[in-house]
Amino acid sequence: METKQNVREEEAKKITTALQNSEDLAELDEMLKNNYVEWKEGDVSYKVRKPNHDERKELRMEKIKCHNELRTNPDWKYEQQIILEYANKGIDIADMINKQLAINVKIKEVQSQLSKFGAEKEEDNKAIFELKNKIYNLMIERNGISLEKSDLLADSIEQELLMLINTYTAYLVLEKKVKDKWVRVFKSYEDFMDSDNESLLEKTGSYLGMLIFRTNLKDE
Amino acid sequence: MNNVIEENLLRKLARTPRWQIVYNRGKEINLNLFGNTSDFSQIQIMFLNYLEHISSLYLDLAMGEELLCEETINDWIRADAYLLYKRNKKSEEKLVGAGKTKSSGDSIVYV
Repeated sequence: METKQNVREEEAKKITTALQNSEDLAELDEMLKNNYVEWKEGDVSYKVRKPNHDERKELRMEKIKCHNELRTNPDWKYEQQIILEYANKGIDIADMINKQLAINVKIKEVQSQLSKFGAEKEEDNKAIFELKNKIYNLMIERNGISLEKSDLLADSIEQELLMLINTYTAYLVLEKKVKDKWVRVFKSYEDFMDSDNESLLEKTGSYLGMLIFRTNLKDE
Repeated sequence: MNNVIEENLLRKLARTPRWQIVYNRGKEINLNLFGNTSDFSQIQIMFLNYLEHISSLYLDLAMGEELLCEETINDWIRADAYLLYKRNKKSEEKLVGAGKTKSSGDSIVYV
């Protein structure tokens, strides 16, 4: 299975992808100012912040409740079980993970060759270009495998719990300003999940991803 | 699938002269970079890491590190390669200091 480091790297990649979608450096500069993000939609000011101690406790209880429901439901399976089922169908997810690890080693090897070039000399340009291209293509190959693997494991208990944690956190920490006071936007998690305000939910998820990244369920 | 891998904006921002000056001066005079002084968000932590990495690259350049040039710092693929080289070199030096030696490749041989 993936190491904690790999999971962290994947989460970091997700955040950096989200960052690439940010409008510009000025917006990013603004987001760095504090450990919360504020924005306006129409006349309403919204805010997303990190969950406090009580909210983290509530989140943990929800996660336990959901986990108990999922593990007693025969329709839901852990990643390891899904990996075994796919293996019987001839789809080798363990091999995908090994391929990713092998690509990481290859990238390091090429990086090592690339690092030997100092100040740019005309005669080195071709070699530098080829090595950079090699690294770039290996990264694309690794991302492709990662996406394929994520798709195959999307319906696992682990992924469902991550989804719950992300959406429940968003429900807990999304606030709007009412008469100079910050109050929760949705009265309940169900209201949050039923909301059809796509723009608000999308922004909340994106900003929350920048404030917190989910590492591993075991870390929760 | 997104087939384009680019330098992320956070790193680009950390490379700007303004942030490099603020970061390096901030270390000297204990200046707060953000509105909050604790409980940093993940984006702030990542940004601090980038600031530190890029600052260390400029420091190496100023110290005359022969494998480093301005072009490398401005090229994220080459900068990453250099940082890996530096990390490996540090580990090797530590091992040599501890009476161990490194064989070819990445595997370590204790003697």
